Amino acid sequence: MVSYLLNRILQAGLVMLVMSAIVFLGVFAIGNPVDILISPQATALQREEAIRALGLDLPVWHQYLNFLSNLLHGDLGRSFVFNVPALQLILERMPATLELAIAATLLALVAGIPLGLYAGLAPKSPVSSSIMAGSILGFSLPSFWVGIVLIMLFSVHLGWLPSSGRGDTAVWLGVRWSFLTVDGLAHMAMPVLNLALFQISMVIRLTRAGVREVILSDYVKFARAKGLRESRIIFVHILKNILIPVITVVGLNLGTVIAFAVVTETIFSWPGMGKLIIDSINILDRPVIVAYLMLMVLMFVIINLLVDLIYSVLDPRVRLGAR
Amino acid sequence: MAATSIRSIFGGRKGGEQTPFRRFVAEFAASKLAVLGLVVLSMIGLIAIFAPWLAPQNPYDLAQLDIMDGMLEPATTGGSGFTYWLGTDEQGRDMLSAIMYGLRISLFVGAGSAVLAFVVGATLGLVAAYFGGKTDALIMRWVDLQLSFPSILVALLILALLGRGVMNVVMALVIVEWAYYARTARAAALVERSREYVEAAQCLALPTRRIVFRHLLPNCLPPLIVIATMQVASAIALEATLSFLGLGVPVTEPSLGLLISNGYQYMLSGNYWISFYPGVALLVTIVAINLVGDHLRDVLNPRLKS
Amino acid sequence: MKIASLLVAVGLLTGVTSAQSQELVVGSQGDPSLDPHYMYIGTNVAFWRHIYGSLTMHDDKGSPVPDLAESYRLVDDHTWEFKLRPDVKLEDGSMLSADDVVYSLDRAKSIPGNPSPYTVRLESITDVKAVDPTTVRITTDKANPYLPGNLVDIAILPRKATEGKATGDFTSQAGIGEYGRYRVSSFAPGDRVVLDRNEDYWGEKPYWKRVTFRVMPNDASRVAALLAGDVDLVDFVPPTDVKKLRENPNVAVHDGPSTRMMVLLLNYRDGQIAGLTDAGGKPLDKNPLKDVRVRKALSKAMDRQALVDRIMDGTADVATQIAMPGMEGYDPDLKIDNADPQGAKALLAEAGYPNGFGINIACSNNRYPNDARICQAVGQMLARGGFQPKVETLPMSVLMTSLVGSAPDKRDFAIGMLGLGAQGTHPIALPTMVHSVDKASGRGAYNFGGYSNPELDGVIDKAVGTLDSTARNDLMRTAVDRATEEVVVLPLLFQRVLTASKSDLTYTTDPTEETLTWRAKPKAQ
Repeated sequence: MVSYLLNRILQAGLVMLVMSAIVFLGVFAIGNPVDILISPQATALQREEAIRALGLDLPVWHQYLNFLSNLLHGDLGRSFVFNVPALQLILERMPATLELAIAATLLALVAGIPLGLYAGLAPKSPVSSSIMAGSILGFSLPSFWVGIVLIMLFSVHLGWLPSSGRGDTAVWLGVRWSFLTVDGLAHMAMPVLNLALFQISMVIRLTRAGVREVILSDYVKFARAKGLRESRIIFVHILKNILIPVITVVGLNLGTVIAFAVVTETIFSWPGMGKLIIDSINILDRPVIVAYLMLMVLMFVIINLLVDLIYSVLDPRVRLGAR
Repeated sequence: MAATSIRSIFGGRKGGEQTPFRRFVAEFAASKLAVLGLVVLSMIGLIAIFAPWLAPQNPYDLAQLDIMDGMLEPATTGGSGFTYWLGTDEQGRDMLSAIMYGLRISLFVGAGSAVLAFVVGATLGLVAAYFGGKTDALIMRWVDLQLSFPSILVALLILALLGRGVMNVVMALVIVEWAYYARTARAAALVERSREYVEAAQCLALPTRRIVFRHLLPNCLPPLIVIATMQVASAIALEATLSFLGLGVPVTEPSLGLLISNGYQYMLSGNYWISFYPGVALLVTIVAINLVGDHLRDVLNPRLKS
Repeated sequence: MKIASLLVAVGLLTGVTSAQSQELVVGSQGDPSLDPHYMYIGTNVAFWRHIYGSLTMHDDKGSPVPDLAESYRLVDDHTWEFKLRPDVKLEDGSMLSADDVVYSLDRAKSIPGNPSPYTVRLESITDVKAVDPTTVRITTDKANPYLPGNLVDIAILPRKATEGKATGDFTSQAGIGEYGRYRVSSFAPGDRVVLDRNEDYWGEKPYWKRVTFRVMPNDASRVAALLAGDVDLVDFVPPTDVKKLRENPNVAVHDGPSTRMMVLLLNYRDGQIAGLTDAGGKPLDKNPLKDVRVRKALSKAMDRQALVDRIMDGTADVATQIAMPGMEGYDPDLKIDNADPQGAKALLAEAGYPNGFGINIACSNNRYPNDARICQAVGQMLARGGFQPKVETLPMSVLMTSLVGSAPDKRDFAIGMLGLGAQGTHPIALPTMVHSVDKASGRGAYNFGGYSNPELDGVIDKAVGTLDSTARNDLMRTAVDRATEEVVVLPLLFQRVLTASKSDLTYTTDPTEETLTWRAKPKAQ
C-alpha cells in the first residue's frame, strides 16, 4: 500500500514536469505579453527592454532551465501582470473557487441522486419523463447563456438575488468565505446553480442508468424474493451499487468543475482562480498559467487517487496496483 | 455515426445469432419516443446536409450580406425586398439560413469530436485496465494531465499554431474529451476484468485484442454510451463556449454555438431572436440525440435483458 | 418560504445606495494595480488618480493643465521648469516636495519586470533636478513640446512612505502614502477596492465619501449589475446595449468622444504574402497594396457611416483622417467620400486587378468594443468593392503575434485592425504607424506593415520637435494630409466613451477613457 502511494506521488511529480514543459513551449509559441500590453507609444527600444526585463529574450530552453532551477528553491516565478509570486496569486483566489465548486458538487448530489433514483424506479411515469427532459436542458444549453438568463430573471426582473460578486465574507481558518454570511449565500446562489446544472444532469442520468441496471440484477430479485422492505432494497442494495459510477464521475468532476469554473466566474464576476486563469491566458501571463496548471495536475492526481482508494473499499473486486 | 459504429460492434459479437439486426430494430422501435427522436434527428440531418440548397441565403458569402439589413426583427422585409422570417443579426445575416448552415457545423463538430474521442479514449482506457501496471500508470497519468489542461488553453494553442478552422476545433475537442472516455472505460473495465468470462477467455488463450474488443468493450459500453450521448451535446455546447471566448469556429462560418454566443451580447438590448432561435435549434437537436441515445443504451445493454 | 423572503430582503438591501449616504459603487472593467508605476494601462491610471496625483493633469479636451505643479515653463529649448503647489499635504503631515518628484520619475523607470512600463512617457528625459523644495527642472536630450502632456500619466509618490517598496508591497492596505482625493480602505484583488475620502486633500474635495470599485470584466454582467441596482455607475458600456439603456428611465447614459481610433494597417512588404492571394489561393508575386490605386480602392469600398450607424449603433464618429477634431494637425477640410463600390472596382481594374484578389483581414475579438463585428462588416464592404476578403478574428494575443511576426520580412497579414488610443493632443498614428521603422529615434514601432516615405518622415520628425504650437500644428496638418492622400493606413472610426449610471447621477466622460468618479455627481434636485 505504501509503495503504491509512493509510486503514485512519484508519477504525479513526473506529470507536473511534463505539463510545465508543454505549457512553456506552448505559451512561448503563442506570443509574449509585452506585445499585448505595452503602450503603442513605446519605442522599439523600450519594447525590447521590457521583453528583456521579463527574461523573454532568452532562448526558450534557457527560460525553462531557469524556471526549473527556481522551482528547486520552491519559486514558481512571478506573475508578469501583477508582479507578485504566481503561487501566492493563485492561492489567494483559490478559496473562492473551491467554495463554489464544492457547493455545486453538493447541490448536484443532493438534487441529482433522488431525482435519478425516482426516474430509474418509475421509468414510465410522466414525472420521470419530465425529470429526464429537464436534465437534457442542463447540458445542452451553453452555461454562459444560462448564466445571463439567470441574471436577467432573478436580478434584473425579480430583484431577488444580487447579480454578481462575492458579497460579504467572513473569515474562517484565516481565509475569507462567502458561505458563512447570509449576503454571501445570496451571492453564491446563482453561480452555484449555474455551475451545478451540468453536473445535476449528469448525476440524474448516471443514477437512473444505474438503477435500471441494478434493479434487474439477481441480488435485487433475490432481496425482493426474500420479502425485504422496498425502502431497504432501494437504500441498501440499489443505492450502494450505483454509487460507484456516480462517485467516479462526481469525484472526477470536482476537478473538472474547478477547471471549468472559468465561464461561471466570468459572468458572475466571481473573483476566483478561473477568472484569473482566463485573464492570464488572454494576456499570456505564463508564470501564472504554469503554476495554475501544475496545481491542477496535482489536484487531479489526488482526486483520482482518492477515487481509486474509495473504489477498492466499495468494491473488493478492484485490485489496487495489480499486475 | 456513433450509433452505426456501436451497432457494428454488436453485430459482430452476436454474429452467430439469428438476424440480430432485425431483433435490434424491433427492440428499438418499441419506444415511440425514441422513434420520434430518430425521425427528428434524421430531419435535422437532412436539413444540415442539404442546407446549401434549402437556405434562402448563403450566409458564408460576405457579398450577399448587407449591414443595412442588420438587426431586423423576425418576418421583416429588408431593403432588398427579401423577407427574413427569423430576423437578421447585426451583419444582416438571415437567421434562418444561418441556423441551417450552423446545424451543419455543429453536428459535424459534435458528432465528429465525440466519435473520435470515443474511439481514442475507450481504446486507451480498456488497454490501461486490461494490462494494468506500467501501461496503466502511463495512460492514466496522461489522462490526469489532460483533464487538468483547460480546454481554453488547448483551443488557444491550436488556434495559434494551426490557425482557425472547423477541423481544428474538432481536434481541440477531441484532445479535451478523450480523457473522459478513457477514465470511464477504465473504471468499468477494472470491474469487468476480474469477471469469469474474461478469465475464461484468457484460459482459452484468445488473442488479447479479441478479449479487449470482443469481450471487455461490449460489457463496458453502457456507461460509455451514457457519456457519449451527453458528450455530443456537451461538445456542441463546449464549442459554443469556445466561441464565446473567441476561440471557436471562424466568425464568417458560424455554428449554432457561435450564433448563440453572438446573440448573447444582444440579450440585454432586447434583440432576443439572435440567440433565441439558434438556441431552440440547438435544444431540439440535443433532445433528439438524447432520446435516441438513451433508448439505444437500454436496447444495447446486455444486463438490462432478462 | 422564509428563505425566499430573506433573499428578497437581501436583494433589496444591496440595491440601496444613494446620494444621501454619499457612497458610490462602480462596476469597473479594470482590475487595478495599487502600484501606480507598475503596468501602464488606462484603467490603472484612472485608479491611481484617485489616491495620488501628477504634476500635470489633462483637461476634458486632453490638453495638459497644472495639477500638483501650479505652473510650468520652458527655461530653454531643452529644459522645463515645474513649480510645485505649496499646500499638498502628505499622509504623515509633511508637504510634497521637489525631492518626491525626482524620486517618482526615477522610480517609474526602475520597476523590475514591467511588461508595460511608464517609461514611454519619460522618453527623451535626461535629467531631473530639485532646484529648491518646490522647483523641479527637467532636461531633455532634444526639444520636447509634449513633456507637460507626458507627465500627466506619471504618478508622484511620497518618497518617505514608499521608498524601497516593491510592487508586491503595494497590495497591503497600509503605508502606501496616499495623499490624493481618496485613501485605500480595503483591497481584495480581482474583487473590489474600497476608497475613503481624504479629508486633508489639497484641492476641491469630491462629493463621495466612499467609493467602491467592483471588478466586473464581463460587459454583460456590468450592465446587468447596473440594471439590478447593485452598482451606481458602470464604465465601458458595450455599444450594443446603449440604445436599450437610453430607453430605461432608471438609467442615464453618459457618452463623449474618445481618442481611440479603429484603424486598418496594411502590409507593404515585398515578396509573397500569405494573406494576399490570387483566385486559386496562391500568394501573389507582387504586393498589390504598394499601388496607391489599390489602397484608394480599399478606402472607397469602405462605408464608414454604415459602420457607425449599424455596427456601433451610433456610438462612434466617422474618422475622416488620423487626427480627431480638436487634435493637432486636424484638417477640417478633409472629407471622406461616400462609399463607392463601383468606383473601387474601377480603380482595381485600372491597377490591373479587374477580378480583384484574395485579401486577409485580421482583427481582435476580445479587445475593443465590437471589434469582431466591425471586422466582418469590413469584409462585407470589401467583397462588394470587388475584393475577395477573408475575415479572421483572433484573440488579441494571437493577433499581435501575427502582426509582429517572427521577423519583419516574415509578416503574413494583409490587413490588420487595431484600436489606437492617443494619450495626448497629437495624432500618435503619425510617429508610430506612418513614420518608417527607425530604431534610433524609436519611431514607427507600430508600423508593422513597413511603410516608408522619407518625405513624410521628415515632416513628422520636424513636427514633434517644434516647440512653437502654431508651427507645429501646421507641420502636423501637412503630415496628416499627405498620409490621407497616400492612404498609408485606413482610419475607420473614433469610438465614444460610454458610461452609464443610475438616472439620478450626472457624469462627464473623459476622452482618455479614464473613469474618474469625482466627475459623478448627484443631479440637482
